[in-house]
Amino acid sequence: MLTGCEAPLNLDAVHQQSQHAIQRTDFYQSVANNDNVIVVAGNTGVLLTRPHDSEHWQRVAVPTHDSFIDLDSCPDGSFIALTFSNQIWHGDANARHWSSHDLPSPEQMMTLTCAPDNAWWTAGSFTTIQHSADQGTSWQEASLQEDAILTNLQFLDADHAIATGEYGLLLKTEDGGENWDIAGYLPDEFYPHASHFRSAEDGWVGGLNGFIYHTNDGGQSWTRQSTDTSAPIFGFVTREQELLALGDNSTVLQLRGNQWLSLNTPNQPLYLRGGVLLENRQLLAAGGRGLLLNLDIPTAVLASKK
Amino acid sequence: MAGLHRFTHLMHLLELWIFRNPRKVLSVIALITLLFALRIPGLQIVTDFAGLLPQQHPYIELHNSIKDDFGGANVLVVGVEFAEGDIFSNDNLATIDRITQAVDSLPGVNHNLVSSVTHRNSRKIWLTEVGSINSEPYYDSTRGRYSDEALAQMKADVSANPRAYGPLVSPDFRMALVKAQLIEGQLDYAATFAQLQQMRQQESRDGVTIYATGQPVLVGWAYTYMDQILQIFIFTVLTMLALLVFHFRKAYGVLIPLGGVLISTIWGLGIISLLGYNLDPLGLVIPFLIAARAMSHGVQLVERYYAETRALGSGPKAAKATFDSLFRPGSLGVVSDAIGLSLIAIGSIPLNTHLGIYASLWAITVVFTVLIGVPLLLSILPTPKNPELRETALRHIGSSCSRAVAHKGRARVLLGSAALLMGLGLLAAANVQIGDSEPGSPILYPDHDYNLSSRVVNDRFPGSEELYVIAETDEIGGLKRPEVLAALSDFQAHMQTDPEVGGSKGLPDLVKQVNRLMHNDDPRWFQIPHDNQYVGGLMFTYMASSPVPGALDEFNDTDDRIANLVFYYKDRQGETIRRAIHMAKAWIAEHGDDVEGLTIRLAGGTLGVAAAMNESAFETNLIVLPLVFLLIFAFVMLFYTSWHAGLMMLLAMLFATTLTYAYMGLYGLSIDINTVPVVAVGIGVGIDYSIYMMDRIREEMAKCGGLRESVQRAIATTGMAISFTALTLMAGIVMWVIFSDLRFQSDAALLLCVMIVINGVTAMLLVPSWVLLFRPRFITGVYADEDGILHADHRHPQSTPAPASDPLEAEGYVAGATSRL
Repeated sequence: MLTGCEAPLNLDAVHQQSQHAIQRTDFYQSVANNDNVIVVAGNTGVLLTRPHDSEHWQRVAVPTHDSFIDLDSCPDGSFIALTFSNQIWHGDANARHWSSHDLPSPEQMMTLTCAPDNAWWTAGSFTTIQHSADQGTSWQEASLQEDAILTNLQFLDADHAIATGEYGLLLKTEDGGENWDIAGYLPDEFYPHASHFRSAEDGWVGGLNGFIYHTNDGGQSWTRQSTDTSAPIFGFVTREQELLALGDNSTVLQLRGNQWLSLNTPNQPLYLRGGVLLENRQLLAAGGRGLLLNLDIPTAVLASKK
Repeated sequence: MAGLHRFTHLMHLLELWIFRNPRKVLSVIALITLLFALRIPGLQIVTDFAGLLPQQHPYIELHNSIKDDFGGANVLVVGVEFAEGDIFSNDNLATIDRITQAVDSLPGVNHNLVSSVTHRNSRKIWLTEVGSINSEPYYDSTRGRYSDEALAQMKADVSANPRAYGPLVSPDFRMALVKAQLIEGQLDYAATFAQLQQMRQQESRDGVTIYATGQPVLVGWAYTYMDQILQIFIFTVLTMLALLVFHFRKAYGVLIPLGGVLISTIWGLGIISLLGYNLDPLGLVIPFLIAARAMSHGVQLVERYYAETRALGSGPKAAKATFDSLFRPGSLGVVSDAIGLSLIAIGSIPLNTHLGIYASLWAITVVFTVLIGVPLLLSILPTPKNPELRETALRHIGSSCSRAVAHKGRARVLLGSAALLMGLGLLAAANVQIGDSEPGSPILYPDHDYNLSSRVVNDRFPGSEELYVIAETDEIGGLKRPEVLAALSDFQAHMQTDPEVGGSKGLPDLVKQVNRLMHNDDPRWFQIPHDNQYVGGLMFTYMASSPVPGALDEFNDTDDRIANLVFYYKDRQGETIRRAIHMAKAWIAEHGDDVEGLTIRLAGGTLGVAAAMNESAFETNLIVLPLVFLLIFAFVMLFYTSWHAGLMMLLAMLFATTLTYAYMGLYGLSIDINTVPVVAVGIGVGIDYSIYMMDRIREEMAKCGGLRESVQRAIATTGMAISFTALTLMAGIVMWVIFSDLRFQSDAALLLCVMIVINGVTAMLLVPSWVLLFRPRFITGVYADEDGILHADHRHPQSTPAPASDPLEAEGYVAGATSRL
């Protein structure tokens, strides 16, 4: 006693912090939802989930430290997630139980999507596209033999899908993914961080310098739409007629007519990449350093829509 | 026992010889004094920063091995705060730039490790249209005025860089930090500090406040108070003089104790110089205390000399009698002081080791310069014509105390109260912490410019205190292994679950960031690559992007073998440090062996160094205090050949120490490398009173035989001596409390004063109460042998020849008193 006590070891704040689902060391990459839950996926094996009717996030313990870089929900309610180490993780409808499946190609996969028939599709470097119709048991691999990284993949219906990639590549399939063809190029070899197509003709791509290009002829021609930011655009979020873009410096843009306007967000130097727009018009967007943004989207837009 | 008797008899013969040859002995003392005096001009008064660090502690060994590459504890931090607007205006940026240049040109600054938002090392890195990485400084003073758009762009660029926005620019953009690492061993703290202060004065204006913090600034401030030392010294001498004049109003009474102090100080300073040590301005309170101890011994001797002269009528005889009765308890007191002082040397702080060695030697010299020298000098001086001393209030303290311990009932009440007080004291003592208990430095007062600066910087920035953790791999290029980087990243994430961590910096973040940049800034590529070559490529790309060499220096060594992970904390309070180290150790225990060839080593930076100091203060304290107790216990036990004597002194020390800790707990003083020595010395010095009281009771017992009467007489006579000694000691150090702008010195002096008072009360009230109540055999069974030496062993023959004619019996000289068993 009389030799003096060491300073107290007070770990309360640490324990309290470690109970939180959201950590500042998280780097979220993608958000998806089904009828039950919303799921956020990120670097170092981070998966968060919360039911639609709850405010509380829970961390799902998955046995991996690999980084999840993309996430999608399937029509059957299950989830699929892609890791930076080329694995697909498959989660049940409650996003509680997950199992992993190795991809056959050594090429770096960057994006994935679940097709209307619940097939899993993923694309990445060397214009490689892989898919599995049997939940990861067997895989088909194809490449356009172009040394370019595909960055986005989107199914419009069972037959029509679109992929975008490095050097302004735009690929299309009209036979459910059997054959992929180059359907056009973006201006100036634009690197499409994000793309979203409303139909085979009507689509947007976003990327560096706050550039957003729009096409209404299936990628034959592109026009740059006005944006009030120079922050790179990393993602699109849509619900019904609403289209939002997410970017660096916690940027959220809303499409009003032909121009994109910034919404007020806490001005943090962090990226936003994935998000979902909920039924109550609340945007849930996720990004760097544990940034999970809840933002009410103004309704005035709908009135201004043509 | 016969052996002991032979020894005491030999000592007695030596004493007789000394008194037969006073001039010879005094000449030897004078000669030694002259030799020591010649050494004094070579004595330096400086603080050696390296001497403050426990060099054997593993953290310090690590700190020493990395400080040239990554810097460490000697970080100078200048904060520039703008009242109006943010830093992104042409004027404000120019101000920051000028300050950065000024800091860079301070003496001793490592020019490779200067950081500021306007420094060329703070760079915007971006991807060119052709896909290569380019970089340029955020601010370039040669470019001319920036347009509003360019300033807005700069602000956006800076805010996107987590290594600039946060560590160098405050979250509200109104304050910027300029940090510089100083090269240890090449430092002239005073010159660096003077130039820094001059710059602060030049650049401060309405709306611009400049703060300065960091270890070099702290030491710089400490040096500015060197002038105060002289002031304190002069006031202390004047106070002592006043005290002596007030007490004695006699030439001998004033001059002889002062002469004793002077000679013992010359010996002390000479010893320091002879050992090749320097006098640390931060640790001057203890030398002052030793000097005051020397004086209090001198006062007791002169006081007793007058009393003996009154009784004996002869100066030389009185001097011999004084020596006979005071040499033993005096030496015992000196030895107990020296024990306390020498144990300071045990700790791992070189500065304290030096202090312990020279201070204990210095304390021992008091035996020769004062305990022997003063009586010898008095024996050859003419007998004073009027040996009557004036009554002063001090002389009544003893009789009041002796009334307080009049019988067993009162003694019981006193001891009961002491036990209760000790219980309460233990509760308060539980608050005493290792390490600082508040932000800033405890060396200075809370409202001092330095602490104010530290507080502002800590408040405005997520962390101005840095903890370095070193990751070492077993092969060149080992850092490029992805699993190594992943482990480091995991460690960083683990440390950041502590919400108090403001942020962290490390190679994994850089690799991920460059990887992302290389892929068009795509966040999906914010990853550690899959193989070594890719990691190496990214590191090379980053290096190549910077036109100044050494872009990676702050992250890893040139072999890519050793990496530095930096964690930013708000302060270096004991609690923060304890948690930081605990968190790091917890991760190492769980994952330290996960990656082959990777070792995580703790800890450098300001926090790592402070952690080492706290840990060694704790360990030192763990050894030093029990050892002080044990040695004094053993020494007293042997000296009086009685375990009861040892136990009584042990209890007295425990009581006084508990209350001292209670005081520290109540006033928020913490245990650190500065207070451990003070407490150890306080115990050693404080126990003197109790030893003195115990010895006097025993002496009285041998003389008059009745315990109650002996106790009362002892208190009545010793009370004055103890109060005067306590007063002298406090007078010797109290000027530090009053005048020193260094809070540490003031706190140390105040702590010592508190310890002196507590120990005085213990000696005056508790020791006599204990004796009265428990009747220890070594006191109740005391007798004197043929030399006048007291013994209490049963085997001694009853027929000790007693020189019954000894005339000194009446005044406490106990030769001739027969054993009363």
